[in-house]
Amino acid sequence: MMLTTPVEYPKSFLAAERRAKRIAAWSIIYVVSTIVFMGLTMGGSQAMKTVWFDDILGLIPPVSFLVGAAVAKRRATADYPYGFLRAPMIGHLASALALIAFGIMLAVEAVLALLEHTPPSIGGTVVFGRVIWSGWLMLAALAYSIVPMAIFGHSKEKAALPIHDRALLADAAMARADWLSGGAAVAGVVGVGLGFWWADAVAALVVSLDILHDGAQQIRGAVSRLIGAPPRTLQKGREDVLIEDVKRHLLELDWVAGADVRLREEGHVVFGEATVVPRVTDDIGTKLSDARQAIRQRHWRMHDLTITVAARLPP
Amino acid sequence: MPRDRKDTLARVEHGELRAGFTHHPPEVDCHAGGPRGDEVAMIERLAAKLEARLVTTCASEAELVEDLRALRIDIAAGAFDGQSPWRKRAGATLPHSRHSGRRFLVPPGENAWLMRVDRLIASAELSP
Repeated sequence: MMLTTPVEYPKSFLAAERRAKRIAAWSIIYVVSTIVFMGLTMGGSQAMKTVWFDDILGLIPPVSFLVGAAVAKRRATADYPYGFLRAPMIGHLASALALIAFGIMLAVEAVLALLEHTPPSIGGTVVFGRVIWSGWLMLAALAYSIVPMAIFGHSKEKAALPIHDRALLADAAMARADWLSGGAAVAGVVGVGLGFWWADAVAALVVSLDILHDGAQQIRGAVSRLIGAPPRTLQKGREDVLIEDVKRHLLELDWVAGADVRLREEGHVVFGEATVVPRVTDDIGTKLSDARQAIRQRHWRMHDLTITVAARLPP
Repeated sequence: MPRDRKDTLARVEHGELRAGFTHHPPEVDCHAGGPRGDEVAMIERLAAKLEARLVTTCASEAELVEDLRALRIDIAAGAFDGQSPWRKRAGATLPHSRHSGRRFLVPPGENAWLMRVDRLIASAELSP
């Protein structure tokens, strides 16, 4: 069977990917450490279960990224002749779903808290024989979780761009959701301290809307890529220059009278088809192989291009 | 910080402390004329510390919690512990007795008031 050839990743890509994997691994270690820490200090309360659930949702994106990146490197087999290059796209969808689940949880909890109409009671805690307001301890704990998450979110976003990894970008969005909800909790504790009992729920609701919007966009992006929408840039969603570039390259060949292309993302790389109308057909096999080779050399991401010869372009 | 939502602390100090009790002997005995027992004595000391006149009522746990939520009483006692399901509907103080883990309940969101009671409990000023 004809198997997709392994991708020759540029050195710069592999270095950037190694860095991204390190960041993801550290973020997993950090989240697991907070789960253990909170499990030890807070016991098995209901509030604790919610926090755990959030944390486990937060683990899905970095794990999806690492698994996707590892699976994508596997060589094509007779059972999977196109290879495993789409694995990161599945990871992206999983992360997007985790992100929207996080947003839904936050919104539902906030609405329930408002409906229940029970102003939060935050009293004292005895620390070394002195009574201090528990709110101060909560603010300290929140700062401990917000600052690293903000740093992780920022560095994941930066790391995702050079390797064109949407799963990692969704992971960055999840880290952002995490620290935003932490920020809402800070506003909530301060609000409760000032006597505005609804501050907690309202802040969470505002942040959850932002997260839901982000999650919906991520799902749309992930599903579009899986269905086979044309390659787009990672952040602004502009059409990838690759499409115009490949077409122009074909049109500039002296034996080509007309050309059109159709491309789709396969994880980190791009597959697609081109139709060319040749002026002359002698030695057409060599001409096609050369064109394919030249395009691939110019754009390593343009990994698999099938060029069809036709008498006229399809409509 | 923290402040009260409805100024309970300001109202109670040098004013009136409205305490609700539920029958749970021996801590609270509501069947002996007025409420009596260790927890009642602690609430009496709390009123004295705050220079407040004490007004007491006896009712069921459910009624006390509704009274707290409607700010008809300022504190409730009756052997409530940390596992009490009422804790979700009202505020709970620190345990006032270390070995039993019993707590008082206060109106939800009255956090300055809650802190004041917590400080008095922690400094053992309410204990006999």
